[in-house]
Amino acid sequence: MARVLIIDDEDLVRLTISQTLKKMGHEVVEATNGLAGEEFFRAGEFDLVFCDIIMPKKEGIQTIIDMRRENRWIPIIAMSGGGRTKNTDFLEMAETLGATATLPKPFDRKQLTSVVNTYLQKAA
Amino acid sequence: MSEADLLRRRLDRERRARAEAERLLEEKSLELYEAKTEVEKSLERVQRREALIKSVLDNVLDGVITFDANGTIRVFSGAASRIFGLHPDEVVGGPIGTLIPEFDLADKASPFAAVVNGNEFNELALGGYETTAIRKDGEEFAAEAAVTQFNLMGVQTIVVTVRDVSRQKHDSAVRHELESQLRHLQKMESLGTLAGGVAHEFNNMLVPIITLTELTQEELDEGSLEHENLGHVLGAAARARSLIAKVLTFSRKNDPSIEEVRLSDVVQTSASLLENTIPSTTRLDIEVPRPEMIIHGDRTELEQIILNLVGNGSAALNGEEGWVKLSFETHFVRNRSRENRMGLPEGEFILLTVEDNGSGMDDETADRIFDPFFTTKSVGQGTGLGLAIVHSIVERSQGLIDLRTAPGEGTTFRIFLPAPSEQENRAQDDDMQASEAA
Repeated sequence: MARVLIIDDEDLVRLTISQTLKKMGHEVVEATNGLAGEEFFRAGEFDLVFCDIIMPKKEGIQTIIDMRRENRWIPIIAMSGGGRTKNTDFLEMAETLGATATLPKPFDRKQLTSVVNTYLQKAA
Repeated sequence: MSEADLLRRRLDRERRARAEAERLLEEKSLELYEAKTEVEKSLERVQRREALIKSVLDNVLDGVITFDANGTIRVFSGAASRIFGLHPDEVVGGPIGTLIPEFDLADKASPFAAVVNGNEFNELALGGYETTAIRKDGEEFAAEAAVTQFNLMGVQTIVVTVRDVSRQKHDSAVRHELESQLRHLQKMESLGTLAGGVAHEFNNMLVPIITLTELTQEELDEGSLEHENLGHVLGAAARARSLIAKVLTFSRKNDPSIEEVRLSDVVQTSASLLENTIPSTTRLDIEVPRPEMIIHGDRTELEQIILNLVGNGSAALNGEEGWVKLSFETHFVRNRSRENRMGLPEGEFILLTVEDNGSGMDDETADRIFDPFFTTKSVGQGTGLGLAIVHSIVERSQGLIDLRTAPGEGTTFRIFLPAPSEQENRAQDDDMQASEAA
């Protein structure tokens, strides 16, 4: 059983990931923004983190940078529904700045479980 | 009185007469000299005035032409020579209609026709004209002509001042086109931003719709009505996902991944995809004279252009027998050509043409086809994003779309994309030959 942190401001997205992971037998902690997510990250040991990009209080890119400073090894999966600035894709940016992998929304169960299995195995 | 006295008197008379004659001659000579000087001065004044008039006529920017009641050119100024590229000797004595067809006196519809009929000048012919004139090399150009007339010693004379406004017309057309493009670009920009935001929200909503449905479906007996119904939900979600992906493609603002793409590869991939999507009633003709040609572009985007245009061409056949022609060639855009006036710089471009013999479009439809979500297809058949995506891709590539269509006359899309230099392609051809030889 692994401990997974989900940081996303969308209740139903958190619920979806949470239910899928619980069904896989993992323990889940949820945070609704980057600031809360970072506090959980510092407080507890996690095996995997899912982090959304566009969030209130503290957005995902800076959250990923700060979490990566705290811990170099935990796999962090950046998620986004496809927003862009002028020339940069948020997910590409997140990957460059510390995310281990990206998961574009919308994803289905197969894609979600595949990411979880891949990165938990690598972490183990 | 002696004979000697008589002779002396006669001699005196003759001397006096001679002296008088000499005096008169001298007086007349002086008068003549004065008259000659006066004439010479007058002549010089006339010559000076003529030279002044000629200099003025030659140096004003507008060309001055006069012609008589028969339409015969009498005066052709230096400025007119520069504008038309003709020496006065080549036109004086010739008809005005060869320079300005609208002023052809032989044309009964011309306001100048009345000049011939009865030598009466038609006052209606006076005034300003926006007309077309013809240069020596046959090139037509836009001209403004002001017409006045006077009567010189009983001879009716028409004066035309001609101004070459082709440059202004060209600049104005280019400005108009650029303004129109800018308006469209701004509209697309704001729609793109809006579409990107909406797409982001939808993607978030689709996560629970898809994944929770899958989780729930797993709990149900396969074959049950509930399981089947959730299958329909997932099918609809998949369609929504695909639509959102298209919206995001349209709203993308980043530079495409430009790479060297071989034309034959793009055409081949597109053709195989099209085989499965267009009906058998559509005959697809592909013409690529230089399939090995390399172009710079985003391969996926090029395929999207082809798939959308050919798909639309096929749809325009409405299920009836017909054809869609797809061709790739190089095209040199010349100065003042249609494409140049539409905003393309002079130079070589790749020209992709997609032509169909389908139903065509009226002006109202043609004006809106690049707007996102505008579609003429029935509900569920089209998203209205295909051509908006094509437009967005071509804009980003600094290319141009030229559309020609009319109801019942089919549609032709000409897509101009920047071409690699000839040198690059020659090098690629050489590499190709070398590898074939090897």
